[in-house]
Amino acid sequence: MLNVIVFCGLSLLALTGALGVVVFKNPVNAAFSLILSLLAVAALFASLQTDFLAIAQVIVYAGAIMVMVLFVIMLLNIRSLPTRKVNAFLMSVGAALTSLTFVSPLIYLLFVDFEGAPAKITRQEFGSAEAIGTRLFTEYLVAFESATLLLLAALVAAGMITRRVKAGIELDSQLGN
Amino acid sequence: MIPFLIELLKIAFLLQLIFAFASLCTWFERKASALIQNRVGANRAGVYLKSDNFFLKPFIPVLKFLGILGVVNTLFCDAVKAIFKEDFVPSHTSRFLHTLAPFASVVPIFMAFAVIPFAPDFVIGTHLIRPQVAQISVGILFVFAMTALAVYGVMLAGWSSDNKFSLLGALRASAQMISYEIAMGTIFVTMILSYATLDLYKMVELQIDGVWGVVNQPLSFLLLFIVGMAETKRGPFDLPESESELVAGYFTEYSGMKFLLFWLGEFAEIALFSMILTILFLGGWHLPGVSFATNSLLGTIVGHFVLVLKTAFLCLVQITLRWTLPRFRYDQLMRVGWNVVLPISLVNLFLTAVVKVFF
Repeated sequence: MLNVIVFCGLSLLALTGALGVVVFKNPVNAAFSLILSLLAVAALFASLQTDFLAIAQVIVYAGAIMVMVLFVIMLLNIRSLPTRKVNAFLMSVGAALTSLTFVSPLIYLLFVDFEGAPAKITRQEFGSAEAIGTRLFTEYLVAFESATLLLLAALVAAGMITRRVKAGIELDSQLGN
Repeated sequence: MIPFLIELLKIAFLLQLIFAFASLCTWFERKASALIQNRVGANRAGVYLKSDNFFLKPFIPVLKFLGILGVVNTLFCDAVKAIFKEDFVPSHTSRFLHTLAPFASVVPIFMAFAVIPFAPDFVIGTHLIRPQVAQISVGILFVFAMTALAVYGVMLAGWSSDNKFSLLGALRASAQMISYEIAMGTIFVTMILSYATLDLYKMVELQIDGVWGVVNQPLSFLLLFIVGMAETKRGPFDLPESESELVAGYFTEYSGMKFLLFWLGEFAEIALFSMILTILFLGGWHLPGVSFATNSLLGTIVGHFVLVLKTAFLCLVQITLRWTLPRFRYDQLMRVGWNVVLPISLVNLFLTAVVKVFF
């Protein structure tokens, strides 16, 4: 019973946060509701006894990515979206089509028979640091290493972009330093 | 029912521990800064107390003594002053976000304490009690996640203040926290590698059976100490609130209890980093040469005080350093983070891995 209450509460929180991202006009409010949603998802992971997944969710999404998003919002000082005249009919048709794409798998799930599925995760090691680590370094080693290569390339690229060199002239010398 | 009560008692005990450390740091900050700067410091409040009340009378000399030490001022007068101050909220801004900011900077720090074991196990009746609120297997990562969330309070405060100084302070603070977080993560990985576990309680047990972490990893200890001071935005790294440039940085527009909450968060973070350092490197509750029967109550009490004393010592060292060293320049701060601390910690991680594999 308690499990159900916790699950419903956290799901509701996650959905409220997701709704806030769309509804809020102020980008900072929207960003913070996204953080709320991500934290609620992390708490959902934690309620399923998968500590490592929950904390990875917090570190990666709430702790790293959203900080960058907020940085951009704050640095560019975007106040709020301008209200534009839109074709309400076309917009609602587009919204309906888009949401149908994402909702249809959920509707399909309603008709799936879960009779034989386990009521909860019985394997203790599921989602633990050991299980994920072992999987990453045996079964998915190639994919994992290619992902690290990709990240390294992105890091080098970021370093190159932020270097103060423009068309062969050091910006510092232009400024007289 | 009883396990639930035990959990509640643990949480209450941990909370008083955090507040005790925060008060200790506040008091030391005021009195030690006075001593370091050749001032007298707070020594008036409580000294002139008089009472003929039968119950109060025995406490008057104690209060007078504490008053001379400045404790009454710190614990009582500061709080009363903050409560009765006007709670100022700038116009043109969201009142909700402005109020949320101090809480967003305090709550993650308090939550990070949940995974910290503050004494060895003990048995009461048939219950084996582990003095740790959240016994999750990935404790050290939880600390990392929570300190990462602490950035939001700062950003929110700076942005919602609608003030150039606040925004600049918040940008400085968050850039600094993110930069030093990477080095912190690397050091944590080094320690995870060194102990081969993510559980903070097991790390202490390993140190009691073997040697203290500081013997194995002296460089990591030093680096984490520096990173901790930068993460708490203190000491020579207090650029975000440098008063000569930014008034008070991101909390310029805060007054009263909200202002005090920022300070509570800062002091709680000092205590948090001191506790992490104690648990990772200084053997936690281990007192060399002294051992107690396993799970005995006496061992727990002594162990807890040993842990608290080690943590308090590290807190005091941090505050002394803050009042001794001059402030960095901002580019120097960033250069120290990215070009000195991070490469050294990466090399340290690599060497630890090599030692782990080949020896």
